[in-house]
Amino acid sequence: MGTGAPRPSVLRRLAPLLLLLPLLIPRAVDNSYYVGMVSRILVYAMLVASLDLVVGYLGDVSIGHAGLFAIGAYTVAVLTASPTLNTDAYSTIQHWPQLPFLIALVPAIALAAFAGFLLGFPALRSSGPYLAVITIVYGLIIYTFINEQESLTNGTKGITLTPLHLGTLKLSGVNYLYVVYPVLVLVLFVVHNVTHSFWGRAFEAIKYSSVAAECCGIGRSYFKVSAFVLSAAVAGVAGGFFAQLDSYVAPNTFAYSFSVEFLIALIFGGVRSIAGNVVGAALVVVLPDLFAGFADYRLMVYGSLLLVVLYFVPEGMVGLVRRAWLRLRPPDHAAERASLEAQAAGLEVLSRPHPGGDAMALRLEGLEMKFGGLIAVRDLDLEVPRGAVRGLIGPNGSGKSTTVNVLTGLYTPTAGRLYSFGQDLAPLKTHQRARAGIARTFQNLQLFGDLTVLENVMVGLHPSFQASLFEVAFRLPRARREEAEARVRAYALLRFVGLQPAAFDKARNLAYGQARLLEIARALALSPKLLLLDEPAAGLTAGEIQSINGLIQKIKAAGVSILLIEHHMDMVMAMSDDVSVLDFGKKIAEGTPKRIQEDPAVVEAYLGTHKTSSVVV
Amino acid sequence: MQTLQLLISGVAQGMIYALVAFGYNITFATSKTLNFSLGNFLMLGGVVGFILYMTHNWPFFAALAAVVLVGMVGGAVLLKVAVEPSLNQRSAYGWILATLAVGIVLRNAAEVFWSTDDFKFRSPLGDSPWRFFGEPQPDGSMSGGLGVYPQEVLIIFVSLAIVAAVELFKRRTVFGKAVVAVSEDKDTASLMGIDQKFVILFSFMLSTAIATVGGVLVAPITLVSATMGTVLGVKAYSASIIGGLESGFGVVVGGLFLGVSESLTARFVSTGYKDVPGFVVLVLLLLFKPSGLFGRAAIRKV
Amino acid sequence: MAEPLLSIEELVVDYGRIRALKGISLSVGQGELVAVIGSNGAGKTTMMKTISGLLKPTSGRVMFDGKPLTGVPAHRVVKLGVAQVPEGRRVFAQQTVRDNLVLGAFLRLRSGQKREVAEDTERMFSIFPRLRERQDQLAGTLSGGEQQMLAIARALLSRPKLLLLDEPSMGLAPVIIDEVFALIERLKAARDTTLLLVEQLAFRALEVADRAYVIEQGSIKLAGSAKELLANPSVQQAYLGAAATH
Repeated sequence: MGTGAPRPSVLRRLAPLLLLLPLLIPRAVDNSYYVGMVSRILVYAMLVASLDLVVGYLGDVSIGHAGLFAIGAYTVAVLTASPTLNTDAYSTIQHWPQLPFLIALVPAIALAAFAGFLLGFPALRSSGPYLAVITIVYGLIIYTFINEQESLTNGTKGITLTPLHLGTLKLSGVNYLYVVYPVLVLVLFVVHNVTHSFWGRAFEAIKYSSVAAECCGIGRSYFKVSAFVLSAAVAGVAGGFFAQLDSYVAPNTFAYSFSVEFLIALIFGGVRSIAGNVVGAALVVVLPDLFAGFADYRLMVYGSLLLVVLYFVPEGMVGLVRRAWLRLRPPDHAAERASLEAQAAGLEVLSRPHPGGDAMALRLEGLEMKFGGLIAVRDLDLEVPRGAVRGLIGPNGSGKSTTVNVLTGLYTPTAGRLYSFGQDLAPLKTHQRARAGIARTFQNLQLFGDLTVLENVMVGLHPSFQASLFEVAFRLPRARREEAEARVRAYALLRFVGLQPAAFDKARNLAYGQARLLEIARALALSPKLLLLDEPAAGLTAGEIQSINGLIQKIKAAGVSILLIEHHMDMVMAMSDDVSVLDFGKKIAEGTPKRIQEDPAVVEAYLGTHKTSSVVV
Repeated sequence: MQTLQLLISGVAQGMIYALVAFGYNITFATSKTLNFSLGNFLMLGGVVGFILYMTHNWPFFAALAAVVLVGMVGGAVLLKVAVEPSLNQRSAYGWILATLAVGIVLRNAAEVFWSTDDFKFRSPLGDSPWRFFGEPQPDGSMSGGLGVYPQEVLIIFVSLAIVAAVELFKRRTVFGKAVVAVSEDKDTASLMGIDQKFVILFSFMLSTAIATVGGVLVAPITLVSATMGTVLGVKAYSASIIGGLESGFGVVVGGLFLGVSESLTARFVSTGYKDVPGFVVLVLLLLFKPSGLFGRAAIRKV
Repeated sequence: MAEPLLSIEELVVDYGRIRALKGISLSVGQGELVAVIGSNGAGKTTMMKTISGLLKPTSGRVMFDGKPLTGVPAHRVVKLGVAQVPEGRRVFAQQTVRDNLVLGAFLRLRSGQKREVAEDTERMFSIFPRLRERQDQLAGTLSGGEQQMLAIARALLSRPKLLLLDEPSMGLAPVIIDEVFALIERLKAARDTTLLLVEQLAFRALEVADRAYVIEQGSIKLAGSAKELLANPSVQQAYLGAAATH
């Protein structure tokens, strides 16, 4: 990150050279056993990083990554194994071509990625305990397959490989470090770039609130399946290199407990952190060694360690260190802020929507929404003229939120039509409606808690990114430029709502009133033509409501049409051009605020019938 | 005849899955968490039962009572040590990892403090099969025909009895109704004066006690070992997911399906692949019914 | 004046990051029917949940029958004699009507008052004949009005000294609301239970209440006898906002 930061110092530029240091390990440590352990840590770190993509960023627990790892390892093993090393009556391995390692790695990655693709689909529909069982079962199926398919995998006897060599130079043992380390750096570089781009933000947005993510224009299915594919591909790379680590693979390595161990490693090191991934991998490798005398107790130590970590340091070792570090040296964003401030000044944040199309920003015709026998909205006609603010009010349970959910495509209405500027919305999915210019805020805040305020707005800018995954993964110019532009634009949006002082805070640390403003800023990031504000004043103080009022006027002045759902009547009456009133899913009144306040049907819906005295106006 | 015999072993195996699956359901209902160490609690039951019944020659029912006690205490400890702390944290998956961790500790403890070997557990009803429809031999025994292990019959009846007893308890007793109330709506239950924390504790103790009994039941068929619960726990978990996690009837269906598919695959396809068809069906089922056969689909709310 | 049965002093409650109640004080005397009215989101339900122990206040006190309720967990508040009919009724949909009533009497049944509870249940059935007809039906299959009646009967079966009624009209059709309020008047006339009624439908609530408080944005805006408030135009303004300019 820090693309908007000023020119880094010479020292910072030299920092990447530190990456070369581990290559000196074989020289410094004159013990091939320990060097071998380092190579193992490096391979495992890739696997932990792969797990982190799914668990840490996407928020889905996978207890089956050993299976994906196995696919990588076995593909390489089967395609590179030499017949002479695996002479066995049952083995049919000699039928396979003896491919060079690097070439065998390609199908290994491809097969693992395909397995990840298949795993991604159930993950679209199931979550929590349901998804956990799918991943476990998935791992077990792969494990059973490599165990039983002896003609392909040599069964429990495993496959012995020829150690890697380059000409006469043997790349096994100590030298294997030189092979694995560059790969690890490359893999982590790619993972880091992806997770710190609009891709990573999309993953995290889906984790915190897939509904909010879709309302920011993120195609949930696409990104979710992609995360699984990416993660599996990385697991495949790790598996491929694992096969050459001992030049031997056997099914028992890839059992269920292996998946669990790596999950523990991930949590121990700390999710969403490359350093954490390496630390976690080190745990898996070093701990049994530390306990060499009592190797039997290893798993007890793992289990207890995990409980302690979960209880006392849920952010993991790296998180712990980071927290301590930040306490010592609070982050200084002054330079980046100044740069963003300079670039954001004068930037037009709300481009006036193009005229053209139907004059109605929103038109509902005969909308009906049934849940089983319950009719939440019935025969609703509603219009929001271009550039107008339309208030939508009604007592609790009158169907307001249902209407918003139908508009954003979360529910498919049981009858009726909806149009925005003449465009039929029915065929559009939630994220497509967001891209078509319909943005919303949420009554119960749906912010992405661990992202910064600035990044939350950048999630709203998601549809503006054009760079391909390849460009993102290798930080090619277009990816870098778009990221930098988005930061500036996001900052400008924060200025628009007055939240720029909190730009670098975590969204979860915002005060309630600020969080409401952030919801609006994120919605505005979509450059909406129509903005749905779902109770923007709920829980706010009078002063905060005043500033939201001012903001609504500014947004309206920029030509954005607004549907305002709100209980706070002073606000609705002051802001709306016209107000529609729902009761029991039906529209009972419509008109100017003044007429609505005097409408007997409205008074009755809100205050009840009145037998003893006449309606007071 | 042979198929019938296979079916009976499949049903017996399936009822064990159903029984443990039922244990998963009980805690899910009250606390919305699953105890991923339940398979290892089953192992604990098997091992403790083995030590008392086989090694120390306790009477069977005394050993069983001790196993139930161990299960109940274990459940309470698990709740306090692993589940409650992680529920207080923000992390949505803390309890998955915490209960997995307890499972690992249990299993490793059994390996270290007991044994890493497999042991035979004598069935209290004897280990020679009951034969039906066979040819009478001159010495009065039978050969051929249908051979049923008494333990299989015991498993089927005891498991059904436990499931039925718990279901009756939930429907017929005031406290049972309170348990159902907590699983339906915690806040409203406490407005009735029901101590939801106690109900959750009770559900964990009941769940692990059932699993430990399952261990004693299954031990004569599978042998006793520190690893006996790992895969069994996963399969029982699958059974409960197939059934839909909320439904007592569903777990029996899920368990029977897995047990029978396993014994038929083992016989007609290959022993090694016996688990695969059930697992594949599970994945496919969840693709089309994301909350299992009898689970309720959740409406997305904002 | 005698010590009130329930008194709330300077109660502040935060709901997540929202300050839902900003220091409210009110009292309910023995045998009174007090209404708290206000529009959606004013903090009424938060107040009820705090009294019944489902929410913990940030500061302030709730006293009931001379004892502090603050910090007492919900299931013990019931034991002290406070029953709540929760907002949205919250009947146990997957249990029968009779089982719902059994749960309402949970504490009494556990302390062995089987016979008394049976008598009380019989009385409930005579007050609500439709519940008797449907006693073996699952509560979830009842209509909204029937569920509301069930929720009230369920709460009464704990024999509370104070009954908290949270939005009994919510989501009900006007005819059914008439029935619910007729029942509330009956409970009031019997005078053996003190009632605290939280209601959005102000006019309805004011017609049955002795006294009332108007709550707006987490603070009490008006208080007085129900009659006074019924004639006060500010009540309507609290709902529909200050007079609009356009």
